[in-house]
Amino acid sequence: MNAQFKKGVLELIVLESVRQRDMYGYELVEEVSKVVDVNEGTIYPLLKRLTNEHYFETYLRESKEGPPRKYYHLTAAGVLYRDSLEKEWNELTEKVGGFLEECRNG
Amino acid sequence: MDKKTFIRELKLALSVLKQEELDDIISEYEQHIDMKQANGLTEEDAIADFGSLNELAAEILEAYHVRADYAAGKKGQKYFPQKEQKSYEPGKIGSLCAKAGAAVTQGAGKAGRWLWGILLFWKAAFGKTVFWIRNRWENPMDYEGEMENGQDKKEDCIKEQKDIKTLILDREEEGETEAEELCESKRNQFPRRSRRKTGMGRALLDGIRSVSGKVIGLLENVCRLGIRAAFWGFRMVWNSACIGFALFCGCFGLLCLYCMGLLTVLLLQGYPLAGLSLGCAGLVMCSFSAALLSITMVLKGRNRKKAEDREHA
Repeated sequence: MNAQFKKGVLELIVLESVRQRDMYGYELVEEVSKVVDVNEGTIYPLLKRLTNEHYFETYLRESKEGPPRKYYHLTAAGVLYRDSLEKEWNELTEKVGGFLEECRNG
Repeated sequence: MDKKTFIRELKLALSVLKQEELDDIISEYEQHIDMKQANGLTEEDAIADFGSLNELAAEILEAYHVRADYAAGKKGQKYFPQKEQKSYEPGKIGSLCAKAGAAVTQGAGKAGRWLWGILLFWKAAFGKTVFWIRNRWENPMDYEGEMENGQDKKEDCIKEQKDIKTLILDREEEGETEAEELCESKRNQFPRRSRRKTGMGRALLDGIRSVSGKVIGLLENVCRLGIRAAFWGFRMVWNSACIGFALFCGCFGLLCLYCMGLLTVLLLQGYPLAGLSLGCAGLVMCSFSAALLSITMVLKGRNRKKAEDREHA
């Protein structure tokens, strides 16, 4: 997939994933990788940015397999932001889809 | 690239960030690598999945609104040097700061001890002199009383003379001769100074003493007058400076108060001026406090002078 497409949609996928349930970094990377093939390193900066912008909040939870894990939780602001992104995405896909359909039909 | 190298170079690339933020990021990447290794990947493969270290660092810095070129420029070095640069490692910087702090503390301690030593030396060398001059200045009439031995003898003589007179009066009834004899014997016991000197010598000595005493007294008065004039001048300058400073602070405080009022009105209208208003309030308080302090210093000086005059009176 085009890198710019992926970059644009990555935020929405991450927000939606965390909205389903709280996740820690590695888990989230795996979840996102199921949808788009993304460089693993780029998820962490994105998580950090969304946390700094108060769309996520973090907490530590003990793990049986190693050190405590940092979980990400979607805030109310994050939910609103995710909804606005979804709306924009839907509008974009609808318009682009319609345009492509028109072009195909001649 | 192994995990250690990756972490070290990532730390180096992100060294512009705060230490706690850096630790947070590094711990996440470390954990990620550990988890991938636990799932069966090698260290190198786990790290390779992160892609280019330059791009990764640039993305992380972007998340913190830091430009990657700024971070590189700040380091003044190659963005990702292969060799370890000791001076930019956070741990090294911490230890360097700790060493600098310890050196500063030690230096301050040494300087303090040195100054204290000088102070003690001055006190030992000139403390008594200063004390004598001060006593001499405050109680000029006690000067003659400083010769302790002579003074004691003089007091003893006076006391004995009084005893003799009392004895004479008491024994007047018993017979004048006996009393006179007793009186004579007592006088011989405490001979007067005039008896030891000839008339001419004593007159000369008295003359010299009188002239020198007058000259010294005159010099003393002149010195005292000069010092008092200097003190008076200094006090005048000091008081003028205090009053001028108080006036300046008062005017500045009023100006700040006016600004604070304006800012408060704007703040109530919804402008983001809370910080400026608080700053103005602080300036108002500081200015008025400084003005009050200056006035207090002037008034305290005047009150002290009045108290001294009252004591003299």
